[in-house]
Amino acid sequence: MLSNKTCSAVRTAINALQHYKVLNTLTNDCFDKALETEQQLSNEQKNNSPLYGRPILIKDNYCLQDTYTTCASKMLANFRAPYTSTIVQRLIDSGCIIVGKTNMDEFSMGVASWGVFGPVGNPWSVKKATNIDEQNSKKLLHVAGGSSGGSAAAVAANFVSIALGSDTGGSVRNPAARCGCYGFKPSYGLLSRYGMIALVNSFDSPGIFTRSIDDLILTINAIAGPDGEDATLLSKPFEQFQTSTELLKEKKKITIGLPDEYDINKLSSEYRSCLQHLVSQLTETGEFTFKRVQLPYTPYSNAAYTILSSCEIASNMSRYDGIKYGHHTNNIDENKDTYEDILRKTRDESLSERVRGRILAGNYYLLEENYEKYFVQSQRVRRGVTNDYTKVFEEDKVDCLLAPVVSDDPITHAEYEQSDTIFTDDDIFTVGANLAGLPALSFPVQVSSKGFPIGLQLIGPFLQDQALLSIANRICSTYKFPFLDLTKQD
Amino acid sequence: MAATAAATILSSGRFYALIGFEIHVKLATNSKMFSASSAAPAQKTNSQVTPFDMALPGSLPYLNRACLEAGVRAAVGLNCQINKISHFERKHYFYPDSPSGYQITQQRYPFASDGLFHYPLLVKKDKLKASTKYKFVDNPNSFVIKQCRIERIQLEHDTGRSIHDEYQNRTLIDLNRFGTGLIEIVTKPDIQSSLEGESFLRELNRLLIKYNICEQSGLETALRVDANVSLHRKDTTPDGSRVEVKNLGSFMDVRQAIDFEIKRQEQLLANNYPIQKETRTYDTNKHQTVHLRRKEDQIDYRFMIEPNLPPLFLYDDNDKNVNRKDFVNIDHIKRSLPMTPFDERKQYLDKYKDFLTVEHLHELLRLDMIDYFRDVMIQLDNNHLGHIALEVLLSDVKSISYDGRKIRKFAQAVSPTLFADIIKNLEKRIITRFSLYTLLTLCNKNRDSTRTLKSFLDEHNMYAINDENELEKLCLKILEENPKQIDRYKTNPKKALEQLHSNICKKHHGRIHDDLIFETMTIRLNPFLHLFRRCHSTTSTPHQQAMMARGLPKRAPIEGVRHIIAVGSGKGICNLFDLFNEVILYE
Repeated sequence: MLSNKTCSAVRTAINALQHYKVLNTLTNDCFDKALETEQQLSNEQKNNSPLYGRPILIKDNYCLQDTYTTCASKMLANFRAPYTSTIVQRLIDSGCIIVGKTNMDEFSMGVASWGVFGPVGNPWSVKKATNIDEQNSKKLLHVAGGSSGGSAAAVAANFVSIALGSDTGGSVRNPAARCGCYGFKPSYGLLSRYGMIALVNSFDSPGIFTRSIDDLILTINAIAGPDGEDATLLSKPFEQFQTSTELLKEKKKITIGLPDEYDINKLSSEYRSCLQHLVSQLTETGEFTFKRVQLPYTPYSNAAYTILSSCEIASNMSRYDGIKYGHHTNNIDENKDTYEDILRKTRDESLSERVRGRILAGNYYLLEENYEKYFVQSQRVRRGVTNDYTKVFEEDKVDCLLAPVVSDDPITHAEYEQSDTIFTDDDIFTVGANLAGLPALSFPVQVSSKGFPIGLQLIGPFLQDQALLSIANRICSTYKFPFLDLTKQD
Repeated sequence: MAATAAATILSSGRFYALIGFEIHVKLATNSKMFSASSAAPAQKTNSQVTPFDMALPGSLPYLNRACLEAGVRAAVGLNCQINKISHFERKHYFYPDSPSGYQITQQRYPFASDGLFHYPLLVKKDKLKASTKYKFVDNPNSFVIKQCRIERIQLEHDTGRSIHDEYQNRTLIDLNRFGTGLIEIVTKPDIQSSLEGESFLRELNRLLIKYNICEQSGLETALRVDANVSLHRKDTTPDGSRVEVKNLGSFMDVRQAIDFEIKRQEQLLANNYPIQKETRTYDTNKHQTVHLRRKEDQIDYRFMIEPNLPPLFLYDDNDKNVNRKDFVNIDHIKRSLPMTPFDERKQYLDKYKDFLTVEHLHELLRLDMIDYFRDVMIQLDNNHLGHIALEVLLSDVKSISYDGRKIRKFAQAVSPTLFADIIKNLEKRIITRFSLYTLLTLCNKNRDSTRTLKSFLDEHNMYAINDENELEKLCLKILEENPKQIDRYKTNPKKALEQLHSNICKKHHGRIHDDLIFETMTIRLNPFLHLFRRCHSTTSTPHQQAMMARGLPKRAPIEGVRHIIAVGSGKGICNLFDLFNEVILYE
């Protein structure tokens, strides 16, 4: 067997990705281009970027020039982006090598990463059961979470060490918790959304999966800051975050809030005790104190999220008419079909029922007679949710909140197929940070009795991303999570 | 309601009209409203398209500061209240030339509202005097000023262009225009006639050009107008019903469409039919408005806040950090604005008070020749020349341009410099008053606007003959050729001179000055006159004496006649009037 030294980082990643094809992490790859780039980089003068030469994966909703950007939808199955998104370009500029585009839910709608290319498998399923093939995969593979499941699974399995996802209502934190890696959703306005295909513009945030907090910080340092393309970005220039060695010097006592409203009935006893265990473990160190806090608007947050997101989805999806790009129906009756008929056929053929359902709902909420009742009302709830957080951070003087991300271990693909819920109760843990635009980090804590990682999340005050990562670093250095590494098993 | 009280009752006496406009103004900015691509017109199809302009997934809008500033200038010019916080919204509808499926506009929260705009009524002088409608002019030496309230101004962007290929039965899309900046100005229904409407739009257009908000394009205007026209019975208040005539592209179309619509609605109401709420379009060939769709069929645009753009903030001198580079300061824009067309006219009246009257100015305004007049004036250094230029413009030029109807074409064909040169040469007597008309016509027909006056004069040999000796020779020659006229001169010198003059002019194409030739000719002819003086005497013939002895008719009332209406023309009727006035007085 070849040693790692002679085998390039990109080659190792490609080998692993090809070997674990059953996990279905990629929608399409750029293996050849990646190898070529790696060769080129090794010939060039190496710059001092810490990310130089690192193979990475990006979710298939980031535009990368001349490669397919499908959003795991039939609508964009043949769409090659003619431009590159800001943060992807910044990663390329700092020496990252893009190995492929990762699988996801269609247009990021869902929590199973199950789009037109099929579902992503949870890498921990592979650890439990060997010999998974196409026949038995649905029964043996578990849901990887979503919608950025492909990126989460690939990082958790150590195919690559960094991957990009996007978080609209938990789409980074949820799969990170399911797969066992770090998943960070920064404050709204810190990372450019230019070139990231929108789901819900006012909730969307690019997100990052890594296996260490240092990698998270390095990636953010490489991609954050205004770009003159995304008008919702903070106009202030970005100040680089400090890495963990610097952060660990911080010895200030941390106060962490535990929101009562997140302690829902559905939270399994194992997951609840995981949280409680961590709390007592941290209290023992003497560096942390915990405080129960209230976020009274939380019960309404899911409804507000559903309405607001449906509205923006309906609006955003109206560009997919099959005229400029994307799927265009072949089933046209030249003599009879009007523009509207062709439009309907094109969209019916290429968008799944889930997507069309959201569009329908959104358009309903936006009707003139409903606008006040639904959209405006939901915005009020959104302000309420935001005020809840502000109050907790300012009046209760907590530095951040600690909360679950999901309530129980993942189900199998077969089980998932049987269920027909579009929104799960777990959304209540994650949508709050999106409604309020707050930074949130999902981090792995321990492995459950069934052999799945249990993740928790920290939610911090707006724009206190660095402080949040610093706290996370202190918390995570108190224990050692057994990260999965499928490249070393065989 | 104020508007109703002042409403002008239509000639039929039973109805009054209320008209409001929605005016789309294409902003004269280099790049588009939300993307960095060029906004230049008439480029190769789809050559000015960024990811945003074709609604590529992942693309985002970024507000062009120049568009916002142009909008603020318009808001200041229209005396609007400027809202320091406004929002962009998406207006959803599916159409192939709207690639994103929505237009970004400002429906609920426009950046400017509640404005007021004054405009001079552009009515022909004679009409102004004759009409009873405009009797409320308090000062005959000023314009008739009307006002229109502005409801709102909003920023939005244009759609792409659909090109319908009838031969291959397909529609092609050009996205070059998509995303170019527009402002939409919505007025209150304060306009009451097509004349007011046209006057309003022309003054608005002048302001927009002056403030560099839109371009003075080769076409008539960068404005596209939707007119809401509604007719109401004299004794009722408006009920909000109206007919919208969409997409009027020229001032003439606006005028004709409004006139047609008023007539159509008047007929309906007179026959007790209700006015349907509907959207109509104007057929420029048939000169009528045509039904497009009923108001009830209108789609719900499902307006939603544009989540990709932050709220639009504007600042003024009272705000902190107002000098931050990324802030748009309303007061700063106010300070940098040029004069309004209103003040500019005042300035002209003052500056050229020696020869320019309000009537002149009004006529220049009506002909849309004020800027041309200004450009000519800049090149003429004294009032005397200015006066000549004005006279030539309002008489000769107006007459060769079909009483001013085609005067804009003249303005394009003959540059102000060329025109000023003509005036200077006229004054220097290098061009005669006779050749002026021919010369102006030649220049007007000429396509090459860079040609100099000299080239025209050279080509057509139009230099005036000012040399005395040469003139003398020419005169003698003419006299030689026309011995009959010399005879005539003895009895009727005026006629003879005219005839001789016309002969000489024909021969030399107006190269000879009136006064000079008369002078020279008279000197030449005078010897004849001395010989036969008084042959044609003032002594009356016997017939004349008889006629004159009869005197005027006797002044006496005609039995049974109380009023006499005299119909006729010219001086005769005046005399008659004098007579009958007294007749009536006797009664």
